[in-house]
Amino acid sequence: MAKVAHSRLATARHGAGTTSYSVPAILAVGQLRTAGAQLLAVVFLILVWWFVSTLPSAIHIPSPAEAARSAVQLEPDVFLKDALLSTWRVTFGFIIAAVIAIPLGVTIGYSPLVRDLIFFPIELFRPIPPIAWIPLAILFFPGAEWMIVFLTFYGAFFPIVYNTVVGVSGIRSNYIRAAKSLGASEWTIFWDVVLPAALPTIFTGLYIAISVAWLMVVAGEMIANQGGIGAMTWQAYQTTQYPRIFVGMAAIGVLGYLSSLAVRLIARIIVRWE
Amino acid sequence: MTPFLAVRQIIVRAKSRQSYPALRVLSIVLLIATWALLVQFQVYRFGFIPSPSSVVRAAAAYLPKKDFLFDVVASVYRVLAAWGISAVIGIPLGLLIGWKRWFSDLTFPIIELLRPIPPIAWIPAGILFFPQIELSVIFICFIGSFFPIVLNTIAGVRQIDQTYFRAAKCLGANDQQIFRDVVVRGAAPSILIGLAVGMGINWMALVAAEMIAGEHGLGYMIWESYSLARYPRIVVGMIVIGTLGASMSAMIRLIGRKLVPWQKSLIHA
Repeated sequence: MAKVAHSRLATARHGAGTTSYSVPAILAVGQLRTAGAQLLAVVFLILVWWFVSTLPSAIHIPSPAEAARSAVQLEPDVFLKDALLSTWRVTFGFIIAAVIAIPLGVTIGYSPLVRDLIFFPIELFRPIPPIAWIPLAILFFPGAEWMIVFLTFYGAFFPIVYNTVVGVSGIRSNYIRAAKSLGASEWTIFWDVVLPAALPTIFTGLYIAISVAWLMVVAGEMIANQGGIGAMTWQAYQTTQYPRIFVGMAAIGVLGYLSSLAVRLIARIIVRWE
Repeated sequence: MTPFLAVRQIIVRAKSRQSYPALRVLSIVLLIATWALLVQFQVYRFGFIPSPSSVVRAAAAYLPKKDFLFDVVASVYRVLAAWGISAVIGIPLGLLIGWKRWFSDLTFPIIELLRPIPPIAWIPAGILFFPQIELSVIFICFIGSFFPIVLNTIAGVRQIDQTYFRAAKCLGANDQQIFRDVVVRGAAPSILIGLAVGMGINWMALVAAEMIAGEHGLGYMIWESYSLARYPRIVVGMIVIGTLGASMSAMIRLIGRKLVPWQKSLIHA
């Protein structure tokens, strides 16, 4: 009996069941719990890291304190420049990808002809990991800058196209019939029915795309070695400034997280109905 | 024809997934022809890119070689090892996180903290930590597939209708039975999606790790071909990697359909 009661409480906490507990109180407790758990997680991770760094086999792994010291020693302008450069490359490639991929995905979703003619070859390219394009991209583009932007573009392109196609072709034809019987024009149907229905899925694609773009920028920068956080991390390895590797990793993680957050915030503003 | 009928017909045709196989063949022919012409006439910088015919010649030279077999075996072994380890650790972890709130509170924030760091960024740390290149490559691939598997497993458990848990309890099921018959079965379709996505990211991480750190393997072969200016072989490598990756994902989907017959429309991802 106690077990059942406990499970009911758990259900309420998950927010899945109806309950008579006061909602704000539960939310406050939940937030406190989440904050506490997150703090605990950070402490735990630092402890594990510290423990790993004391292992005899991990002689090159710096301790958390060494990494923190190295982070403090970084020249702020150099670091900021690298961070901004990487962010710029990601943003640029991501925006080009969105501008091309969303209209393309909509067209593919609408027309079986375009689907066979364009989507089919795109699908053939998909299993080739974007990183495998690096050598060809180096050959093709005159400078490292365009090569890296191409890589972020290429990584972001596929998730956006795919999710747009799924979003557009997944719409219920009842909605279109209803709009039409109310006298909507083709353009209105697209603008007021198809697009709003597809937007949540499109944003899922954008959300995936931004993290792939970050992955690609790190790979491209490590190989090109022309500025950016990825290059900073790789140079730290090559010049045996090992603590700095971890500073670089943390910076990449934070920047990646912030840009995902930005996409999610934009989604929440534009897609209010979800 | 009124515009309405036009729109409707487009939608209906798109819905019916009517396809034209001839168009698909045409699209491939057009793609290769465009590639050949761009290289032939050296449009912009396409003169630097290997032509289709040189790629075919490079494939004929490379594919029958023993090197090719070694590279394939090395890469496939690394991918499978990393994917297997991710599944063995990730699935139970995800099931527990999704099922038990206290376990989620303890472990999920740690996963959330580490997740934004892409597998590629782990390459220098991986090389430093592991004594052998082999292990560091597997580790980097593991990082790639671990997160999609865990997160999809968690989502799978949390999507299960709460009524199932209550029903099982009413019928007197204990925790072990609930775990086996409700949690695992309910999450299975989502777990399979995680396994398929993980396999894709695994190949991506593998290519990066082999290019930057590796010995042997297809990613290493691509990078070596670039360094030695054997450019057509790069394209051969890309095609081989794409084919292997696609067939492994197809295999997961096939096995998934056999294992989870109760979920018909499984895995389009």
